[in-house]
Amino acid sequence: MKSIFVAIVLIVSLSYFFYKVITLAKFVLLGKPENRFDRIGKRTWMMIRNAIFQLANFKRPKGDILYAGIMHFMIFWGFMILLLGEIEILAGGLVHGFTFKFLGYPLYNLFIFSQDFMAAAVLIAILMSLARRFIEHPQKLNYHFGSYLILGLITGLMLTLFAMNISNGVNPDEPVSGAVNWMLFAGTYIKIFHVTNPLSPVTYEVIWWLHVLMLLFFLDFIPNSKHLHILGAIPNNFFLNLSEKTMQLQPINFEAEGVETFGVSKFEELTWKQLLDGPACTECGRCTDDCPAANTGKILSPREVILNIKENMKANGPKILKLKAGEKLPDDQRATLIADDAAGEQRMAFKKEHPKEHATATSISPQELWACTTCGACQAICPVANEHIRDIIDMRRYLVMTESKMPQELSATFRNNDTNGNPWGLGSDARLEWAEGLGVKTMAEQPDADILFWVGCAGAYDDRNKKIAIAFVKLMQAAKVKFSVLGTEETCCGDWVRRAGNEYAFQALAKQNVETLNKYKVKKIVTACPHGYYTLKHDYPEFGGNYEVIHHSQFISQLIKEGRLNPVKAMEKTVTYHDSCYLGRHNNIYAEPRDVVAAVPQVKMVEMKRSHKNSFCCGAGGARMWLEEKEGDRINRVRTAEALSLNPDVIATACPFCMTMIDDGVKDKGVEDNVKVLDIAEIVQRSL
Amino acid sequence: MKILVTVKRVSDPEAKLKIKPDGSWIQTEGVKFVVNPFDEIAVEEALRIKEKQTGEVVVVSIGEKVVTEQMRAALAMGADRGIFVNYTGSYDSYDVANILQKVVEQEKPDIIILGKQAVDDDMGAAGFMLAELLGYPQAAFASKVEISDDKKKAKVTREIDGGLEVKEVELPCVITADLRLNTPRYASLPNIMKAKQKPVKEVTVDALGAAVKPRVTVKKLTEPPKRKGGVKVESVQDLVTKLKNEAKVI
Repeated sequence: MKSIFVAIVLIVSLSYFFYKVITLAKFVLLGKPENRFDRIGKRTWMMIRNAIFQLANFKRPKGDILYAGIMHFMIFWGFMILLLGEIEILAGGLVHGFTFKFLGYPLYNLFIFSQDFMAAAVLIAILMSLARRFIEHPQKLNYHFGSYLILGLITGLMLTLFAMNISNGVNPDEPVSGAVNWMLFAGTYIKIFHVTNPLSPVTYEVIWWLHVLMLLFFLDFIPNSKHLHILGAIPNNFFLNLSEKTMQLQPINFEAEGVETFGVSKFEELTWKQLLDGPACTECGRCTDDCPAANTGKILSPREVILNIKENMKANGPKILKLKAGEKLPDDQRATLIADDAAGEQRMAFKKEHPKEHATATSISPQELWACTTCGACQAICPVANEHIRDIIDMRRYLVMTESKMPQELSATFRNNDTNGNPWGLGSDARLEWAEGLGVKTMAEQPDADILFWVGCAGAYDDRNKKIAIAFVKLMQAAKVKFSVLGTEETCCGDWVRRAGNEYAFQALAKQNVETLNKYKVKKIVTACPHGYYTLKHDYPEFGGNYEVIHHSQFISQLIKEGRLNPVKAMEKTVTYHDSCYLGRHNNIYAEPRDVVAAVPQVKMVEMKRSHKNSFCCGAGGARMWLEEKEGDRINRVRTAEALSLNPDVIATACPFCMTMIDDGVKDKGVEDNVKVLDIAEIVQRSL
Repeated sequence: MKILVTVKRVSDPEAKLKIKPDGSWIQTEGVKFVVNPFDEIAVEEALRIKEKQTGEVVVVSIGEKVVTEQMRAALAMGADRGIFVNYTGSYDSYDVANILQKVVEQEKPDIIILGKQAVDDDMGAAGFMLAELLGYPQAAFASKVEISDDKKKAKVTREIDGGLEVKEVELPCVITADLRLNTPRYASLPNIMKAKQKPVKEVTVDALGAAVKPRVTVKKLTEPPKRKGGVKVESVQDLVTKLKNEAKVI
């Protein structure tokens, strides 16, 4: 009789579970194709390393992340091992008297031990979790009812398991009774409390059913909750972005016939990997916790970007599946993915009143999309290999190219760039004026140069950054480097244009620059701009531009090592180096700029609290350089304050955008007489 | 509501211009050409009115075939169609006003919006002359335009020295656009593609029945004198001495 009930309950709950999961999988597969099946070996290893060994949870093993990582490790492995026990329990329900005893006693004892031990570990983890939620109360967590329901269910599962184990331990009819000494916790309980009688058969049955029903309810709750990550996170760590190119933006073919919209305004226009990010999300909030926009009072929350895409997919998915199957639907209404400005205004008003909350919805507002600096902090810390930036850029693409909806200062900057090939809108013929009197040769004048110096728009047009270009030229001249520049043949590399979503204009710029570079058969390029570095190195190969690109920090560091540059003059200053996101997180260059500064005699280097991979953005990336920052605190002020708290004499940068932002931050504070913001090239040049 | 907007092709205001050796005009080789920025503002305003009221925005350009490039840019912003007045000779503001008068007589728009001036020669005369020739009311240097609900009047705010002036004009009227009227939109990609298909009617000055007899001709262009480099003075005393003895200003 019991077997029939168990079978019915099992079939119902498993059918529901698989129906939900298969439906979600179908939604995900509505996404566009993307090849994430290369390097299977490496992918498998990353999945094992990140998910099975749980290393993804220890990306920054400090404080709350370390605590939560340990907690999660215990729950993860607890469940992996307790799953075996649950199979035994369910099988025992179906077939009376079934146990794993047939495995033989040494193995069965080990099994008994593991079940008891891991149940205790999970209970400890639950206590840790409750302590975290109620005592530490980190802001980054979502305090949903669902989270507590899950914690309650797990506690219930473990307590009922213990109750059954204790009862079985003293029940001579049960196989466990022979192995009671192998149960560390249940066995100790039996000894301490002198348990001699097993539970009455009725009580035992009630507890058994309670346990089984909780387990199956939990199973069915998974696809409807953040615990969907149990199914999404492991494959997402297999399909992670293995490339050095941190922003895997999908190229757009503008020549394709019949395409009338560009970018993403519907969930199914994302790739399947982008759609898998939602189910993989654990809502741990680390992305939002590290996000410079979210940290300074903007409504952007990278976690909500991922979650809202998931919610949109769940809201629209059934309809799209029906449409695909050829069904005619009464209307074509669907939940919009990109909300309008008014919705963004509402969210901003909500945020002012509830600064700690982020609203989950089925849409993302333009204000959220434009707040992103593409600094990559979210992706760097995400334990489930989610890629937030490209979702944001894909939606920006739609706003810019299809709708032409963007902050008006950005449309003015696009116009400037379209006409004159630089965002400042200064004359394209003035691109080499910075180098007047320096004896800098162009590629046309000296085509056999060993290296091309890509000056970039900032170095060519921005007064403060021109000084850096000059300092770097003087360093190269001192080291007798044979270099040329492109002069007026250079145009905007297109970094910010691409990050702002204007793929059409970006491709035109990239093609033009690649044509020029290939015309001169350029092989090696050095640039003082991490944004140009990223774009030339990672984006241009898409357009047939393959070069060895190095950043000036790497080049200067190499010149010093080779003895071609000798910083000899002492600089008795305290220097703190601000990591550029595009140099650091996006390109893993942390050591060279520091080496360059440290090569100057008597410099005392100090590190900010947030540095290296954990660095905090200056606020200028992702076209934010050209946008006004009206909401919340200004990112550059927050970062500058962090630097100033170390009482430095010099804040060193290695990026023209960082230079502008930190320099402005220092001037805002009115401390520019005491604290200098210098590029690493300027620091070395002063020491020659 | 039908709105006629003028679009002039001008050299990029950021470009460093060189004058032809004979001083007759600028060297155009290698110079980028753009839509006159004030005309862009005029197009944007016309589109905003159209979006509120429904209607049609017609752009008109005068010149050689190349001016249709700038006309396409205005069509890409969202204008509906173009009238290209093919004319290769030289002309002055009064000729432009004459040609536009004929276009207006054919098209009968409710509002004519021009940029307040073209940034190449900075004449800023065609708008006034056109209104005069047509006998239309005009509101120049608009910084805000509101069309009345009955679509019979336009309330135009103008930036004047030391304040704002609000004028009301009856339609049809001539409005010239000032810098702060709006920020022109960035053309969307589908609109750029659609602009290629939008109708552009080519007409000649003769067919329009306009007379072109330039009363003003450019005689000579010269470059401004090169700025001489400044001198750094050592002290305040030095500065005072120099101001007294060399500059003779104190």
